[in-house]
Amino acid sequence: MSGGPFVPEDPAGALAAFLDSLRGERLLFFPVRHHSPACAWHLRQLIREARPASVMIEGPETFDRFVVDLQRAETVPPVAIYTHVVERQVPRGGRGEAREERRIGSFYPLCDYSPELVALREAAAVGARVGFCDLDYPRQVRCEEADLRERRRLTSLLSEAQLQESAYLRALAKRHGCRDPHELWDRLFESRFREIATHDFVRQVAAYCWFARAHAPAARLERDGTVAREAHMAARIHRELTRLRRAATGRAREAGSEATGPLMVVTGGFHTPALALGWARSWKVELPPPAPAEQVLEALIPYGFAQLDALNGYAAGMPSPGFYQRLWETAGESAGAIHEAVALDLLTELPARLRKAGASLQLSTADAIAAFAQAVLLARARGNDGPAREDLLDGMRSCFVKGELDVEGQLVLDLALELMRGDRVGRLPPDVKLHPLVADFRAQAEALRLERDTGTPRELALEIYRRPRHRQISRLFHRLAFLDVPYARCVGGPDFVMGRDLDLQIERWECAWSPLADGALIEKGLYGSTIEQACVALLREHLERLEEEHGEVGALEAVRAVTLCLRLDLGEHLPALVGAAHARLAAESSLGQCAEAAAQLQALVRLPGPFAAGAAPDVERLAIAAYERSCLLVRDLPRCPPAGETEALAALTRLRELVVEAQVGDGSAADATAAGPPDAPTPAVPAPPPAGPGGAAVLDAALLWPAARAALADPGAPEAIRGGLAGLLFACGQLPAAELEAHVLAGLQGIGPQGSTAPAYLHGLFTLCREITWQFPAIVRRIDELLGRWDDQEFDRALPFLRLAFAQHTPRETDRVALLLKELHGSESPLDWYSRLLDEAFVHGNVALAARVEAALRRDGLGHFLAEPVPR
Amino acid sequence: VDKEDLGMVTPEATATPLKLPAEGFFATELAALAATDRDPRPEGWRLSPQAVKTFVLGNGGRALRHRVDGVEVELPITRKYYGDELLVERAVVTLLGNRGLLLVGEPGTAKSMLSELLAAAISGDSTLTIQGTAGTTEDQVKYSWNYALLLAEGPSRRSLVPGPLHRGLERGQIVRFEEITRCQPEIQDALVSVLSDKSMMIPELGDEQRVLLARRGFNVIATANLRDRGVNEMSSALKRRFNFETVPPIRDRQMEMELVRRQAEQLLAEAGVALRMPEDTLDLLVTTFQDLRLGRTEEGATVEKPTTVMSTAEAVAVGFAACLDAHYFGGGRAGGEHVTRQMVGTVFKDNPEDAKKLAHYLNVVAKARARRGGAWKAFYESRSLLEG
Repeated sequence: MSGGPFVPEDPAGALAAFLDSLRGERLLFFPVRHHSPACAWHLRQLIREARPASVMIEGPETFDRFVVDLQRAETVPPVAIYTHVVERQVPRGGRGEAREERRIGSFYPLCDYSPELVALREAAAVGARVGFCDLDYPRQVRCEEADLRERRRLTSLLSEAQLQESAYLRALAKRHGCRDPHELWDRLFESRFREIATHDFVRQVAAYCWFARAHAPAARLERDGTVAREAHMAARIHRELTRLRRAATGRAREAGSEATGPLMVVTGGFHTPALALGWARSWKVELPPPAPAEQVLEALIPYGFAQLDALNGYAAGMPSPGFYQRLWETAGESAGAIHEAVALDLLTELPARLRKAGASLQLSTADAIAAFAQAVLLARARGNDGPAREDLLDGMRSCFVKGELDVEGQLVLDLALELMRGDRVGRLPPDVKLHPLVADFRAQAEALRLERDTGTPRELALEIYRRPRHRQISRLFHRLAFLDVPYARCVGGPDFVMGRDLDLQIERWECAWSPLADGALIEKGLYGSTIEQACVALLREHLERLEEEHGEVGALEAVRAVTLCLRLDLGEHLPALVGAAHARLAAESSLGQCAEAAAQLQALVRLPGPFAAGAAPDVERLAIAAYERSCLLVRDLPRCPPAGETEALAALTRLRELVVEAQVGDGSAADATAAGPPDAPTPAVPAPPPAGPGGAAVLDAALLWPAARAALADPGAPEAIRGGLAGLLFACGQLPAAELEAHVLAGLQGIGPQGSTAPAYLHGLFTLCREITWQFPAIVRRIDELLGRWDDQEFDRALPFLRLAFAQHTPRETDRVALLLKELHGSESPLDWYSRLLDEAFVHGNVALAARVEAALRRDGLGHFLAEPVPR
Repeated sequence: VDKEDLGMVTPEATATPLKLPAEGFFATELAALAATDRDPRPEGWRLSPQAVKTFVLGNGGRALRHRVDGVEVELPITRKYYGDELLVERAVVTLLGNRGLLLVGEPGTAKSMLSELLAAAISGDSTLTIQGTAGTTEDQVKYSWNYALLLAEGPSRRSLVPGPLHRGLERGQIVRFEEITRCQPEIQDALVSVLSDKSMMIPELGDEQRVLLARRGFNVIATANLRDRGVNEMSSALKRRFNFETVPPIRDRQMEMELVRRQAEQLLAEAGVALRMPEDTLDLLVTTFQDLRLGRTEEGATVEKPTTVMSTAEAVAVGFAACLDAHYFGGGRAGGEHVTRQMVGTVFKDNPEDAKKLAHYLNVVAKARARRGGAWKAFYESRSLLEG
């Protein structure tokens, strides 16, 4: 095949030849558009009329094993076959052996009006053999020359991209005054399907698709795997024909009966020309080897209209499945009458929806009548027998929107599209073998009385302390979230893993079932056959990473794995994780990580949440270990690199909080020196709604002070760290005021390679103990003197660091310091620091100008012009 | 079209009118459509809905063959409105029904032109127009009196001076209400009963003539700007009697270029200037307007939107002015520098910030495009015009 589009020399003749090839004595082709009610209706007619002996359907041939289940009446569409294949690929910038694994998955969605499903069920009714004839999914994936990394989302095996993106059909749509090929299809086929005889209908659909195919670039067909798939389908059809012929001759020899029915081939219309005209038979395609079974997963799952809607971005097929479902279900004499009945239904339902949504705009019956009339008139003006989907939407645009389309109209149109989308979710017979993970999820959801049948999001408020059922729901949700199953999303509540908002008692979740949840569960099938097993396996993966000796996992992450394990209520796996965390802590060299880990663990001990209570001793020991490691690392602070100073100061703050809290928890109040190890009350188990700080692990403050003093005494310690340590010791009563004053005085006089180191020192000091500024006027006076000595250049250089230092103060505290300064300078002017009239650039400009004027005057010997005469 | 019948006075012998209404300007096209129109016409309509649509959107350049005074004539129907075709379809269908049509959208999106074209095609008369202002009174909308006759004869049909709405009802024609939201709400609401009952009460007249019933073909096309300053909110009673259509700015660059080219050429021809806008200048003009309108450049960079509306109508005005500038004051070829000069006066009216935004656009966006040479280069180099 060459690269360009195949356009025959004699298009009319070629088309006629194609149309004649559709209907042979032994072979019938039915080109369909996936998810088209009109195609489904005519296909049903044709199967009943032609009574084929065998029906072959476009779809991976491995799906044959689902045929029986799909044919059963208890299978209520929409349903889908989910499939994925695990591909191994050399990562980008490929380094030899290391291959990354990637799962590539797709859905094969079927609804009531899918021609494929109708073919499956009608074939059974006429006793025909039925099966799928397309290449199996893994080989389809491998024939497609796409970078697998780009296929991050699940696609549909029944996508209409080739028709939808056909330049020819787009141009044709434009000429007919249609927005896109969807609307063109509706106009040409759906809006009058009843009025066309089945054989004419088939020929018209075939012609429609033939034009799209004839103008499709051949190079693209090869690239996207179409060629390989069609060659395979052609071979399958040929085999089936041979088989039928043999069977027929065999039977004829036996019974002398007449020949059996034909073979009917139901594929997307885009493929029909290649199959019917025998092009695909001549293509020599080398197929990749089939994938080993353990890399492939296939499962029948319930599906939803929300996922079927092309407008939702799933690239499925047709937009608004709810609308077409109504067309399929509504009885009527003609296509026009059916469309009108559906339009009337929808137009009367929408105002009620709008009321329910609490929209300010209310629509009356008069509006519905006007919109109906508008839709019908528009349909007539456009040559549709009844209002097609876009006519109906246009009717709403005209009559339901009171204002601008993209402002007032948005809510109405969104609701209209939602209504036309429908919220139907399919069901499978109870005995269909579900994927075990999905089955486990179902069973748990049912036991917890969670609704699973609508796709509409709901918000749940779980009282995780008071109600056992809520606790169980929360546990399930957390486990699903851990498995990346898009079912429930936590939107508020205590976060035990990150240690935030632990005092909250209610967890808020947004939950909505979607078939993607089943899909995600099925994907996790490689981890285990129950949710708990899968979680454990995934945790174990975490653990393996933690246990790698030279791994890059920090202590904090190891500790978080512990809290996560508790949150998932997998307590029996805790010891291994705790062991790993201890090992990580012992190897951790970052004070920040250790202090943060200690803080989080301490929070967990104090507020164990609904699940961690039983593990208190383990967690407590871990918290103490983290604290002890932190104290040890404090001794290393003098060697802290400049980039780590901020983190180190934050860690010191953490430690200060921890020690102070532990003392408050002991009831030994602020007397820090007395912080010995008295008997700490063990954490209340199980924790009722936490009120105030409960018990906490006993942290031995006596470990911290020597470490801090030793670090402070180190002459090589960076100024910021020195300030921070001094602040810490003073704030906790470990440094007498006089010593502090002397220390600060020394700190303010420091000179480094870039000038004064005072700002860095102050930054450290204020981070740990900013109350110094208003408790010790003497220190403020020292700072004031220091600043007074600086010239403008020095001050400008230090300004950013000074800002950083003083930024710790709250506005009220800043005012207190300002008042102090006012007293110091004996200023009379009222305290008004905030000038909104002048901006910074203006003041700077004028200050610079004043300096230049002064310099110029002095240069010219006119210094005496200045207010302060120059000393002679 | 019988001009006397429309009440138009044209001093034919002495001068040409400055601007003809659509039914006068496109008289030959309307006649050709009427002669060839095979689709059924609603009662009171001069053309079938299909032909109305063709009149507005053109027939793609195909010549309509018909006979005028026994002579075979071929005439293509030109495209007059360059926006959304589906919108025109919906508008025509709305006018067939019993609700009025309200065209809303930003200034300069051809709402008034569309209303004029529809009225001309449907009723053959686009002059039954009420211009909504803060000072519009109810008698300007409905009817007033010839006071001399009123004193002499008392209220009678003879002493009544019909306003546009009265005429529309009486003759079964489309009435245009421009800028309806600029009117006081009580004046707007004069339409409520007329639109729902399709009749007008004239209590001053005797019993037989008290009610004026609308003839078929009557309807109202109103235009409104919902976001502008100084507009009045419409009552929900009136909103219910209208179908709203939002007229969007033209998004397709080729289409907008085509429209600006045609309109500017038409204006230049009327002004007697034999000058055409060079293609690169046109491209520059339309691209600049689209970039500033959307706040995003062709390349995808964000630019600040001016407060003025960057409508197609303004682009035409700038293009026309730039050509006049080039014709009378320099060069004879309209380039980028003429566009800059005219944009400041024509588009940026009262907000000095807007000129700064244009300067930024020139310094950043136009600079990159100046490498293409031509108009973009001249445009960029003219940035000094914006300073000071």
